[in-house]
Amino acid sequence: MKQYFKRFWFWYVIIAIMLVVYLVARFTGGNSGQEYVRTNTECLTEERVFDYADKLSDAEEDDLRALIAKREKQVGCDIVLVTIDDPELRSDSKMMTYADYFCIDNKFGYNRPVGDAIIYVDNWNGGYVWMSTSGKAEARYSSSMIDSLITYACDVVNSNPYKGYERYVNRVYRDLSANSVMGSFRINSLAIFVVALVVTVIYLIAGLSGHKGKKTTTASTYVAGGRPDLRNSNDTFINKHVSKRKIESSSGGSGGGGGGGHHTTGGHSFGGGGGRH
Amino acid sequence: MIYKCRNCGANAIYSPEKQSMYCPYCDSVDCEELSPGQGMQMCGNCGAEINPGDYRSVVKCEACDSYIIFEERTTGEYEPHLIIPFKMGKKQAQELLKKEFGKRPFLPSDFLSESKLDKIEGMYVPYFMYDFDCDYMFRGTGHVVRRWRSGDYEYTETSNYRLERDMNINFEKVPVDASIAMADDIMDLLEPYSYELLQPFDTKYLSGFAAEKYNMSSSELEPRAIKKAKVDARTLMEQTLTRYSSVTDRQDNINFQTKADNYSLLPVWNYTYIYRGKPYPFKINGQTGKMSGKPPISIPKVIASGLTVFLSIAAIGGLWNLIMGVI
Repeated sequence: MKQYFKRFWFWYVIIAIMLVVYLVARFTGGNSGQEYVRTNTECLTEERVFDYADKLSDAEEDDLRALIAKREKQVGCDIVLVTIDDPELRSDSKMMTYADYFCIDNKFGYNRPVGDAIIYVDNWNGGYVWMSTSGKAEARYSSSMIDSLITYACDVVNSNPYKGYERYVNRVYRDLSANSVMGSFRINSLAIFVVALVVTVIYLIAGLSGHKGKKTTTASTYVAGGRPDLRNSNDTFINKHVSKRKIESSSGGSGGGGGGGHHTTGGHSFGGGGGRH
Repeated sequence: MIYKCRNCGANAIYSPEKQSMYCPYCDSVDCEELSPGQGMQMCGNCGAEINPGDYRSVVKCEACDSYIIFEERTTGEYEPHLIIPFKMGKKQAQELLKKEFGKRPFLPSDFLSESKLDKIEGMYVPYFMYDFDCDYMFRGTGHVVRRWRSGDYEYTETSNYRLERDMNINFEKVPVDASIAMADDIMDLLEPYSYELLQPFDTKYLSGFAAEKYNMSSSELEPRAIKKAKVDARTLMEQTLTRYSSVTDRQDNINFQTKADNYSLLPVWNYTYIYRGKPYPFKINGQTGKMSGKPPISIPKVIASGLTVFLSIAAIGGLWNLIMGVI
């Protein structure tokens, strides 16, 4: 038992320290209670829900406004929803330009004009969706995260537009909140299991590999003078033959694709990505 | 017979540390005088009963701790030609075991306890050392393969050679242990001994250690010695064929002629640990400190350690995620 604790005390100390850190963080509430102060005074509107396509009832719009107002304070980022029904905007590039200029024209941004903001544009004519990000939202959102968000919202938006847009707002909160930023350092449970298993197996194999001993004699250990007497060493050439074969050439394919990413519109940097529903 | 101290009459023994005869009771050095024994059943010092078994040539009397050397098993046909005296003492052997196994995680707890290690015993193991004159005639066909590319083609050129080798190998003192109790594979791993310290046999080196006379005759052991030497001879021959990618049509004709067989005693420290009724023998070369033997595994320790490592990593990973979730 004494040997056991002598061998593993280090592990227990690490676990104890982490447990204390967790309890302290949980007890003090971490950063989850933080509220941001809006510093952009140049924004041209306080509206966040622009339901030009008229997909939401007045009550639903009010609910969304209330939700957005709450979430904006929690994440420090303007969250804007625009629904349109425009046959002229049936492509990603047009949707992107529309969304970017919507942000620029209205000077959205929580900290400054065209600062921390997200503009979600849903064109019900063709089902095109574009999410434009700037400021810290641009830094936070990768293309895959935007894809994931749009897919998540579009899953239900046709049957229940309010539900889809509520998902958008709440996912933005989840992605931009302090918890979520640190949450990106989380380790997959399966990865933890696999790592623990692999380390355990290596540890056991290393500990169990008790060898009997090493052979340290060589072929000449018991040879007088350390080397044999090679009286005759004769190599006579007999023949030679050459064969040839054709080398099969291989051609590889290449693939690729993309979408979204970072770009500049009107002298401002935006991130973004699109999808359809 | 017993070596006694001229000054105090106690049993004088050979000290590996001092490389001389020594009295552990009065600290005298080179103080020994030979005293006759009282046969193979009775201690020549105290008269207590002793049991030499079939092969022991030196026995420690359980009553007075004297080392009794049997003349009947160390003279005449049983008189060794050569001996390598112990160079490492008991303390050194114990330290070697601690150093080798001290950090092994799955050994039984008392494997290196003082009480167990105190049972380590120095013993002269009987060996026959063979001198062989080996004639090795080899014939075969060697193939040298060369590959290159030119345009869309890969070319392979194979050159064939008729190979002839005639080699004479003078093997000196190929050792084979002549003790039935000693496992051959473990004893082979103790080699090599340094033959510069081989000395003509003298019974004084036996005092203080156990010893055996040979259990098997030279003629019985000779095939094993030839087998060992033959492996070395083949290796030496292969070293002359390294330029060939492969060798076919091999004819290996190896003849051994025995020139001498030296009956010798070589020093071994012996530690036998019993775990769950099964003995685990460890041998240490009493001259070089080289060790052989496979330690036992404590299954409860394996399970406890494995679970601890697994659960610790899982707990650290889980706690990490919890912390990242609340910060």
